[in-house]
Amino acid sequence: MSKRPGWWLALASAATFALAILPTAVRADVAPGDKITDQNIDKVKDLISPGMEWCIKHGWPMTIVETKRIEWPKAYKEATEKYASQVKLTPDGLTVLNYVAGLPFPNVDAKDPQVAMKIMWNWGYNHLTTDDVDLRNFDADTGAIADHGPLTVERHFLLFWTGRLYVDPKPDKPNPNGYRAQQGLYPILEPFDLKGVGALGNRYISSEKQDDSWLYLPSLRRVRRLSTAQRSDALFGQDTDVDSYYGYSGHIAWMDFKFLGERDLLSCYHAEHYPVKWHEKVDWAFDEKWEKRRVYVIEGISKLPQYAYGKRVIFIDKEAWIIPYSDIYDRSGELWKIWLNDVSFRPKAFEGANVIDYGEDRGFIPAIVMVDLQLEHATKASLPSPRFPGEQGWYFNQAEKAGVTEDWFNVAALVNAGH
Amino acid sequence: MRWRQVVVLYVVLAALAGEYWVVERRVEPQARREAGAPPPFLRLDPATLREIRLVRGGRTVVTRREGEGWTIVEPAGAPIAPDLIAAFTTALADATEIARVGGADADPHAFGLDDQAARVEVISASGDPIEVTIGGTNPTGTAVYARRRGTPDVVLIGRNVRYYEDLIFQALSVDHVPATEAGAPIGG
Repeated sequence: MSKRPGWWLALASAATFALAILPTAVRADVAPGDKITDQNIDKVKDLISPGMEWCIKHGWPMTIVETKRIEWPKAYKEATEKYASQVKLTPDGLTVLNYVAGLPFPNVDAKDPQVAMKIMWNWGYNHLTTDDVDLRNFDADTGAIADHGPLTVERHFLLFWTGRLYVDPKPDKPNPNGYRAQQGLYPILEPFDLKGVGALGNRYISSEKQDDSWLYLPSLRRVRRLSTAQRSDALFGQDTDVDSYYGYSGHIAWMDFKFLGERDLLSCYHAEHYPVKWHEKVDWAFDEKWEKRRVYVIEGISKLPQYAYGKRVIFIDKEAWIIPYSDIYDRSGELWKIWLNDVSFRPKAFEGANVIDYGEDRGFIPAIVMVDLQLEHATKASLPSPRFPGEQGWYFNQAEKAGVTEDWFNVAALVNAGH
Repeated sequence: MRWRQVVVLYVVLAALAGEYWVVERRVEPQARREAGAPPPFLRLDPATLREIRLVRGGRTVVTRREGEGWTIVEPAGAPIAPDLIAAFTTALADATEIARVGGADADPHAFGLDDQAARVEVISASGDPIEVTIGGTNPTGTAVYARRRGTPDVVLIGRNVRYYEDLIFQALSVDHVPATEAGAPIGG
């Protein structure tokens, strides 16, 4: 008994010492049910990017939920198992050889000197979009945070020529032009001064060919050709640019990528609301559930001197291969923008008659937000717009049934739709 | 038009041309310089750097160039991607002075340039060390305060440098694998 006080004193001293050094070792963390606001942002400081931190400090709410597995679509998984072993990357990392379908590089090794390029090519061939996509009747509201006006677009559609899994001909369409994909975004329905405006683009398999992009301006009755660098310019009075769609939509070969490591990141991958539910007070923020995910961190710097951005910091989910959000810096290294995806894995957009059932979970993006952090300005897009009741918004792999055919991807169709 | 009017017009034209030649032409480049790109924070060529030392919150990271890449010397074997060090170095070298916000009389605490600040020492091939203190984030959250040792000015540089510094120190704390990932097959 007489020795006990000394013992306890030593133990207490050790505990005090441990507590004293603990703050440097303890990481910020969250638990399901946590509500994150600017008041308790320290809980997530290691789980968000600087752009996301800015959003939370400006009112963006987060409700934390348990992390859930994300299953790949069956056909994509089978294609990966069948073809991945034959896929190679050229020594310069710019061209994927022997690719047929699925994820080209399923076994990513952080020590591989080409790890950054392999991760980016995996992103470029992910399962979110494989054969074709038709995104209909969405709107985009742009303005100062708390002051906005609408822009409504009839269709944004994509046709993939390689890596096809569901619609014949597959896995490739006969492809004399060497397309990887074609993209259309037209016509804009409102506001009145942009009515009829639209954009069109071709992406090529060859890393040596830059994208072809056109912009139709009905007021001038002119079709303007855009350079690849101009894909990073904000279009239609929005904060968004074509190269930022989905988190990053530029050609993989036209950026220098660096692998910065892995980290945990809060991401919105199991959104509950479809169509999107915007927060009542912070109306530029989607009000959703966020979960902790493991992501790769990649830095991308454009090879094009006229590119608008200094660099992108892109987060790519290790399991889903989807970008939850990406931060964008200007050429001085100052934080400039963030692109946020509201992702929801589900078999169909929502319950209802004539709603397409894909038979298994697949990724939908019911909303995106792009914020200009320097100007405190944002564009939020509802995909689909709640102004079109019953609209599914996303139509995947429907080809002719959704009207996604080759004849929609030419300048004549762009001009006709704009009249 | 009389010949006198023609002469007057020529005189006025000559006077305007002279004014442009003598005054405007000299003012314009200066104005263009002022409105042009901001000056670099450090005059640094990343290719010439030999060693980087980062100190923050009682922890130290030392990296040394080996060939084309970077090796983590301290803590030995730390899981920091070599590209992250390269990206940090380039971000620091490319950082420009967005604004000068304080001079020698600036209160370091007000800019987070106190004992809690991160200290970065970069050593070039010539052996000359450059020490930089990186302090707090500015109110808009897009940039950070910084000061180069030996200069009194507090300048604002892009937040990119701070984020990469965060990633470096976060990499030291990697100690777990999320439940969804442990032993998971590819593609679920």
